[in-house]
Amino acid sequence: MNLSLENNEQLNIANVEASVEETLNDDWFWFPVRHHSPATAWHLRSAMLARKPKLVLIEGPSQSNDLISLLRNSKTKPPVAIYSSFEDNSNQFGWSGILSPSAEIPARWACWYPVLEYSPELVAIKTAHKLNADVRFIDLPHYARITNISALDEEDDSKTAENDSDTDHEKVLNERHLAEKLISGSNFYQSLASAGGYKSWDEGWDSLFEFRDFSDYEAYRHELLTFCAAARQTASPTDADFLETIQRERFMLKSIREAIKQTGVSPEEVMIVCGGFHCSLDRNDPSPPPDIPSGTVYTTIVPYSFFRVSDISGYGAGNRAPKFYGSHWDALLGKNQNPIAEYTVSVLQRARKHGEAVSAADAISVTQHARMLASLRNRPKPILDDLHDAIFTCCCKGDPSQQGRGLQKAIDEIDIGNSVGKVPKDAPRLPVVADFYSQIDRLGLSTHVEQEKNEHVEIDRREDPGLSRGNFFHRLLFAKIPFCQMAEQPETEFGTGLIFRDKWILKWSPTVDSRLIELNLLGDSIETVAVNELKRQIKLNEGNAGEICKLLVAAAKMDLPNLLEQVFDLAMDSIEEDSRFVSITSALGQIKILDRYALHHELRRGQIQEMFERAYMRSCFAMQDIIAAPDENHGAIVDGLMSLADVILNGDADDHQRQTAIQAIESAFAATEVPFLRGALLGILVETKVRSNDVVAKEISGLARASQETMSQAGNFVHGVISVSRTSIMTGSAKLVEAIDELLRNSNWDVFTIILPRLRAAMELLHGRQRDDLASRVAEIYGLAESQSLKQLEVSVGLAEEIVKLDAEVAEIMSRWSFAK
Amino acid sequence: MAKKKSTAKKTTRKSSPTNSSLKSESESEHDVLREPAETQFADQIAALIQNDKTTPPSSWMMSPKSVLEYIVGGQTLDATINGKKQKIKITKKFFGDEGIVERAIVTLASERALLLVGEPGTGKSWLSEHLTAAISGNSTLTIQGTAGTTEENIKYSWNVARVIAEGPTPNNLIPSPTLVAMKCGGLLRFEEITRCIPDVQDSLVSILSEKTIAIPELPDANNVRAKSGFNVIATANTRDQGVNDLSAALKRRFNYVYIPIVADHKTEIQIVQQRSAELLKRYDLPLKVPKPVIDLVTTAFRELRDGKTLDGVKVKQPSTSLSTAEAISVTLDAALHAHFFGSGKVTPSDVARNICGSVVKEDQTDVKILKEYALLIAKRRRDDKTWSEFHDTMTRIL
Repeated sequence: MNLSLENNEQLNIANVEASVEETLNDDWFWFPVRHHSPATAWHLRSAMLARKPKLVLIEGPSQSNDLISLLRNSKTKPPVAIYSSFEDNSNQFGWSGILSPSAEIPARWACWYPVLEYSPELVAIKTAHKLNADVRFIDLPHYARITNISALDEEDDSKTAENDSDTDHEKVLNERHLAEKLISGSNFYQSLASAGGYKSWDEGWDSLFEFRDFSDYEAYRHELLTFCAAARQTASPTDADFLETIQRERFMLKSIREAIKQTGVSPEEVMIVCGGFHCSLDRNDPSPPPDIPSGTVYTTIVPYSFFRVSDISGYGAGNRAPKFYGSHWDALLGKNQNPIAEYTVSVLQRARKHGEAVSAADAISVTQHARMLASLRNRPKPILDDLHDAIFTCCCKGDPSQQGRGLQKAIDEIDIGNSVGKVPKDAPRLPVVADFYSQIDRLGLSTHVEQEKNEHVEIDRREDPGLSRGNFFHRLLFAKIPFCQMAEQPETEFGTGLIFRDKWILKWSPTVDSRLIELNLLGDSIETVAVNELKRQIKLNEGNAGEICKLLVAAAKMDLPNLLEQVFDLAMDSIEEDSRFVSITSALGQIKILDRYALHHELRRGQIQEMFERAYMRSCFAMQDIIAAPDENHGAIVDGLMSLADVILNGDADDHQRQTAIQAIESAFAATEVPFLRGALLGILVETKVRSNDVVAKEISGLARASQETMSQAGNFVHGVISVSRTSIMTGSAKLVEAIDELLRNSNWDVFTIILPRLRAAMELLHGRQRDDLASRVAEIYGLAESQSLKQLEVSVGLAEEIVKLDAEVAEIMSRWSFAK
Repeated sequence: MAKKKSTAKKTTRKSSPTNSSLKSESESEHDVLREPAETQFADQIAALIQNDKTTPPSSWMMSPKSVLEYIVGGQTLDATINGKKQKIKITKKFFGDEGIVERAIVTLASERALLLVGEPGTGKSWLSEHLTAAISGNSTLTIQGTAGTTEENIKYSWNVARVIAEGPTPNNLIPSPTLVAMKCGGLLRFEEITRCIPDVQDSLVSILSEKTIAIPELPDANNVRAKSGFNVIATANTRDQGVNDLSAALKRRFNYVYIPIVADHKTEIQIVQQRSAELLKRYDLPLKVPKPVIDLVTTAFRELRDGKTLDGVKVKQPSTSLSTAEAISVTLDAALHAHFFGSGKVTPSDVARNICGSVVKEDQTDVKILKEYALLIAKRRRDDKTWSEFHDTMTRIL
């Protein structure tokens, strides 16, 4: 390879050469790797088979050395990940109460190290086993860098996985990729990328090392060492990542020396497998490595998925197309003779499923185009970027962001794949996982874990085992563990009196374990996880009465009595402090649900009643705040108004409370100038029988006679009315229709086009029968309802025919006599 | 290896346009208003051919890599032009994603034809012209698609008077640009293909699949078969989508390459600067558009097109497509205005006087949008002298 070293001013070629020579001449055999690179894995395997090392030292988490035998176990099916968590029991880093839900709960950190079939680390472990070589991990444990991790997490906005909110102190990003960031950011690589036209680091890597042919592993090693040494020399030495990397390298060096000493192998029998960036580490660095903090450490191997490994997941594992590179690995092993054609056909087949009209001829064009593109771009064979470009060129008939969506989806699916790994049953379980399965056994639910299908379960929560099962299911649901979901929401079924019966759908899948592992950071048992998650959410929603009351209901459902007391007090305080109408009325709705639960559970109804009264009165007083609310809040305001109306209509409020609410609504109605809110407030007054339904028709008529500008607000007004009051309004539908008819007749075209969308939106809120009823009224007004005036024949059909004939003859005679005039 | 390549070049490479079309600047510059690309950039083409190290595809003047270099530019090459050794700088002709150009070149070397699609003014025709100039040395074999384009325009027609006198003979046939391109293994340019009615578009199907045009009127020579190297570059405007969409059969024979509007502001400034300078040179105007004025034009166009200012304030979007080509046109008009009616220096006022015609075309409500932009956004930037002058003139005009 002709590296354009002379173009880079910062690059001292002699130093690079010296560094590479030092590594090559070292007694220890250094093999540089890129994590998840099949080409590296393939060359590494060749090197190991040729050199037959006695000791293989791998850049992997040293706290997980016990897991090496499990990783090479034939029952372990990648993708899997080494999972490691650390609990700072003595709060030595001062993060308790900041990263954990409260000061008394120790902060925890976790780290994942994904391993694929073609990861060089796994290939090294398996090959070493064949060679009877000893294997050890040599990297610094993640918790020895906790301070740095916290700082990095604040800066790192790349982690956007779906559970981001509850994994904010989880280090999903594989820390080994720090070195990769340093390489791709180095001046040397930037110059190289500019000259080669590489748009991304992945494209650069694939062009330079993944899809190029090398004469042997030595040629590959030499070139990769040179590349990494040049990158290291031009990376910023003051970069925080660089400083952190040096700490890790000090630890690696110490681990290497210790391992050699312990095993007693000669230096020539040692092979070190680590990121290329570390191969030029300072072998004479006198500084000691960082101390390893004390705390509780859990480490195990867990199933992982291609999706989580892929870049698209946002977990930052550093592989843009796990399945594609898997095919590349198969091709290197000679198991796949034509990976390009296979890939193209797979993508086009998947695209057809997404409705794209692509043919076999397109597949031929794509492969031809990809090869030609690769040649134009100075690559010996097409890489993923060439294939993507070729697919879009040959199959997308327009703008890729519009017409190419189906293709992009197909590409993503084929690039990533859907493999999920497996670990042996005897792999160590994290405490929370063990607790989950022990509760499953205790509650007699084991049969539901054996098969991955939906099963419906109905439980009676008045007695065991229904009570315990219900509590367990609600805790799982709250912690978002995808084992169960409610088939029906009991609070909407209150009228049936089945509040103590829950209907659930259970389904076990590997994602249950993945979620449990993520939740390891919150506690060691399902109950602790639920409690800590509840505390976390309380902290997040401090002062928000509606959300706190929702959590109160959740605590009741999960049967967390100790916490319930605490949440009761918090809820009471938040109702006192929260002056937002939407939040308070939401709290009101939740308190009503809680009250219904209290009937069947040992909850203090007196306290609930007190909360209810406070929330009710506060929501009345908060009414003035809504009069100028912007459009985006109208939906939530409608919900709040309906909650209040529900209380009034169900007789949950006494006369005084009823009057207070009505005065508040009347006063808000008089004050607001927002047409939608005027309509909604008037609708509530009609719904609660304070005003008759004629008043709505009068308001609309009033608008119909106003100026065109005022008239244009009528659509919003009607929308507001119908949002809160449907049944009551329909009893006066004749007048309502007449008023709307008048409005539409009086409006000019411009105003009509403004009114129309909102009227349509309003009508969409009605049920089918209500709309039919309104349509009939319209038909009556316009004389189009003759069908309703037809009468049933009281004579036979034949006789009726005779009558019609006679009638026609009489009409003709009368016409002749000029009577018809 | 090198020897082998040079032999291949001798046998397959099309003759370079250098001898015939390379004219000295004094000869060519003022003769015609606009020379085709192969004449304007003949020295660059010749330099690239002379320095080409790889074998071009059959009938191509240069290898795909050299075509790419011709379009994206950057190198300075040693070449002998008109017997003189010179250093020739290859200028950048296409700004944007290089991958687009690569995909277009590869398509032209394949079995499929190329369809460049995109918003108006994104440089489709410009790219098409330069590709044909570099590959076949002739960018003039062009069909302009319109609602009135007929099958005869695409295939061939007859000299009716001579046919009446002599009957149909090869001499009486008037070849279309397609027929000429097929006979010489060149590239046909088909502009705005979606403006043609579907029946006419479909006459391309057999040309693209069979590479043949049948002439049933000539019993002895009733088939013209395309020479190796023949291909088609068509362009289509996304705003015409749904008017005369290509049939499925025709779509299959084209590779579509979508050309987006220039994504970043810096590149757009670069394009407007370079193109307006070239155009001013063509009009022989001794003017230079100052950088702040170019910044003003590109910023206004970008902000109106995106519906928000560079600092995130929302503005209304006009109905017209405000392409980079329109920005170049406004800059040129401003320069012409300054030269013929103004002080001879291009000012923000000249831009203000000429921007209306670009922004307001069919929909008169666009006047309000432009006015709002001037009154709200330009006014906020009055501390800047350029924007202040632009604002004052716009306020006066609107």
